[in-house]
Amino acid sequence: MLSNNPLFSTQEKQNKVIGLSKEKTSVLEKIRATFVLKHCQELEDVLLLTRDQVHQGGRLITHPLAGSLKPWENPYRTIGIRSGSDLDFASLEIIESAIKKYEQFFSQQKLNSSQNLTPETRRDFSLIDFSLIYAGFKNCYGSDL
Amino acid sequence: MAKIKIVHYLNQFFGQQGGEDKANLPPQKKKGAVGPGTALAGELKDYVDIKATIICGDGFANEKKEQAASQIREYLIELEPDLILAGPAFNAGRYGMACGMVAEIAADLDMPAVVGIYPENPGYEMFSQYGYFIETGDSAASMREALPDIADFIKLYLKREGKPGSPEEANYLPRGIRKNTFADERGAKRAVKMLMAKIKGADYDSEYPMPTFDRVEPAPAIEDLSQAKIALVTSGGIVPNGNPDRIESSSASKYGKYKIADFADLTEDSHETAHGGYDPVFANEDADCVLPVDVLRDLEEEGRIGKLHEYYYSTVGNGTSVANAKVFAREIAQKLLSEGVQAVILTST
Amino acid sequence: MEDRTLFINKDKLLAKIKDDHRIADIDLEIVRPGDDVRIMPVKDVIEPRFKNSGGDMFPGFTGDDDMVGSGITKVLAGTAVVTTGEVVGFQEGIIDMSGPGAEYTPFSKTINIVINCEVSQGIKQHIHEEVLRLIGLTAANYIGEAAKDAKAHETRIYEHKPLLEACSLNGGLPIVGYIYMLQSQGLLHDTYVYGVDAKEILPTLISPTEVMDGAIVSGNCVSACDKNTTYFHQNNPIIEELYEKHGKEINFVGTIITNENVTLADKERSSSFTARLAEKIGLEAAIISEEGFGNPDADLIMNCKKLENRGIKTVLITDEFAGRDGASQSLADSTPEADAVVSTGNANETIILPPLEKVIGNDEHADNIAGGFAGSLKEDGSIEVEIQAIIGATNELGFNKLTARGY
Repeated sequence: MLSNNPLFSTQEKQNKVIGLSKEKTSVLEKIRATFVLKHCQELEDVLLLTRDQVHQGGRLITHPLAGSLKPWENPYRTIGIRSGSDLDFASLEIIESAIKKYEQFFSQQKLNSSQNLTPETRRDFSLIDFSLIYAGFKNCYGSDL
Repeated sequence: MAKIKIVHYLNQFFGQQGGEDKANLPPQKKKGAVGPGTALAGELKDYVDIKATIICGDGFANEKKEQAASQIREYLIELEPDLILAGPAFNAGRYGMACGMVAEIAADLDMPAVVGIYPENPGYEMFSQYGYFIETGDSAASMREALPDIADFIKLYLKREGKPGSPEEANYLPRGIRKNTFADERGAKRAVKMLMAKIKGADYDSEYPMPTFDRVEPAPAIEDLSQAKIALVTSGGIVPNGNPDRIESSSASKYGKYKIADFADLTEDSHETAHGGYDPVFANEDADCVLPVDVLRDLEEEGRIGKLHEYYYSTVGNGTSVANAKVFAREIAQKLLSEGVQAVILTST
Repeated sequence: MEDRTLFINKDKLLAKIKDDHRIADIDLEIVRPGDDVRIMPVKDVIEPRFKNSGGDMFPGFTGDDDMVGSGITKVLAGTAVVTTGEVVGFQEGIIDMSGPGAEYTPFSKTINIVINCEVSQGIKQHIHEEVLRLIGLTAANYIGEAAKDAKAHETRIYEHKPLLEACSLNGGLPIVGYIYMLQSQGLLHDTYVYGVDAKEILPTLISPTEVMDGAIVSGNCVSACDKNTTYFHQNNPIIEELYEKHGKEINFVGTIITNENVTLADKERSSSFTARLAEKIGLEAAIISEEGFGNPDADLIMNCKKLENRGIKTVLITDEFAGRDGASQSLADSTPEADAVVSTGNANETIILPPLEKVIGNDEHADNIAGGFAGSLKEDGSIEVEIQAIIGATNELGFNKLTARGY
């Protein structure tokens, strides 16, 4: 799992700050235990590393354009990917078009995230990103998690 | 109504400076209308005044882009036209690219640009968003029809005060720009109507045409690579030194077939690139980086491929029209088949 | 009701909805078309309705869990309950009752009963969303009750026969359906069907009349321009337009609801299920509507491809995100099979909204709302926003006349 969401950072235990429910906290812990977590500083790194993984045979589990906020308005993104051996063209098309959309909205996104976000808004964005992943993984791995 | 001021852009040929021998002519300006501009000025005599004509060689415009662009930009700032006209370029690739570049400069200066062009000219695809591209035939033989179309568009543009309307209404080629407007009926009603038309097999216009991709079904995989004869084909312009077939550096009108049976490695003593539009230093130093003969020889030796075909085919992709490229491809594919080649590695730049 | 005039007892209505310890402050105002008023951030819009028979409105929430979709439903057409409240810092959703912005939202043409609600400190976002959702539904029901004994000024009959019967009727007319995609990605991106979270459903059949009776409720707070408020579900224009042609030119036999989940496996499953269901009920053609954009584009394209591959002709309805200059690719996914698309406009196009005398809600957050951007709140009080900040501007059920064209 690739993410720049501070919730997934190994260094900071952010979930207390964000105020996750008990259920979500336990999911967070299980995600941490189940997945290889790669935490990135920048959103761009999440996308580029995902693309690298896809070229090495990885298959996307979650869609990189998760959520229906304005494209890339949310400065945090978490993407689930499963390892594999052959190039999966569907995953490649999806990540490439997501990067294209990212480039399209890049300058504006930068402006939004650098200047305008209060800590509360950052927290909300982080929570939304987590909740999208949570929704996805609850469906996929419901009984295991 | 006061007449508007136009600056016209032409290449060396239509600008009456000479043929391919003058392709390297740097941009220059001339007072008044020249060549096709004179005819246009006649059609538009109550509406426009062609104040000046900028003429530039196609070779210069494509190979010394930055220099050409900054000179043209300077002229435009100095001449302050109300509208810039370029071409018509028909299907001439380099000329089309130059006209497109002029439109891009004009857009940056907030000046409207009108370009006459054949829709398959790469200049249209690359620069369509910067101006109004008016469809013409593919060669100067259609000049007689092209000029009135361009004149009609300019008249309409003036009449509608710079808001000519949709491509269909105003007869220009789509610019690929999406703009909002209110339709007569709500979306749901339009959808049901469209569905009825689709069921009946009647005509309808999709409101958002999907981007089209010329997808090619891949050929079946080769079963035993170690027995296969592999050929190299490139649009990266690798040619034997001296470019014996004189393949053009852009908008190629031909391709070449060259023997590589005697080469294990391409060097600066044997090969170079004819391709314009990219830094040729590395390709000239070691053509293998575009046409990987050396690697294929290794694979041949290791028995991983059967044999590298003794000829390779090469052309220049830079601004080459789709129509030309299709013709080249068809001929090359046919030749490769008759030469018993099972697979091809295509390289570009 | 007195003839066509609705009277609301403010205290009674507030008493009905504020009995919840999670609410800190609540107020109610009525605004009319043409008023010098801006409402933001809007959470949901609901049309007050009352069921004289055949169950209660909003089954699974305020109504019993029993089925709806039959009997008599009365509509207080021309009114709407609008809830506001800032659930998250990047909240969105503008309704201008006059000026240039009013042209883009259908809710500038309704008389709006605006409920401005703030919740207690420390209430989590998902609880906040739920509180607002329930307040809206409860208020709409309370107001709807006024229609109970009122005389209808216009009566419409919608008929929905059992499938086998429906298919054998209207012999020879093409059998047409509707694929109804519901936003279902997680917190603030949810839709409920009979109270069930839509991300947990498999695609299933729903009767159009059930939809009119509030079987589908919005819990979606993001992307104001193309989210389907509860009002849009109740008044789904695709269903209306298909009924209009039903029995004359087409045989409208069914509506399939499906979801827009986060994982690709979910997307594949839901679209395969949808296509199979469409084939089983014998559809020859269908309209597919999307909610939201970005990854739902993938669901839209999968649904289109899989239906077309089974020989079912499709028309898609979507909005576009082509950038402010309109020069970028509009959708995040595409396929050659999608050869019939209705566009409901480029959501990135900008508009300047002049200051209005009164703001209900809060406009300090204009910079952060989806579609707003740094510096968008100007000193004179006007805001420059992308139209995606306006509620319903590019509604993908085709509620409006807005479209985008190639230039």
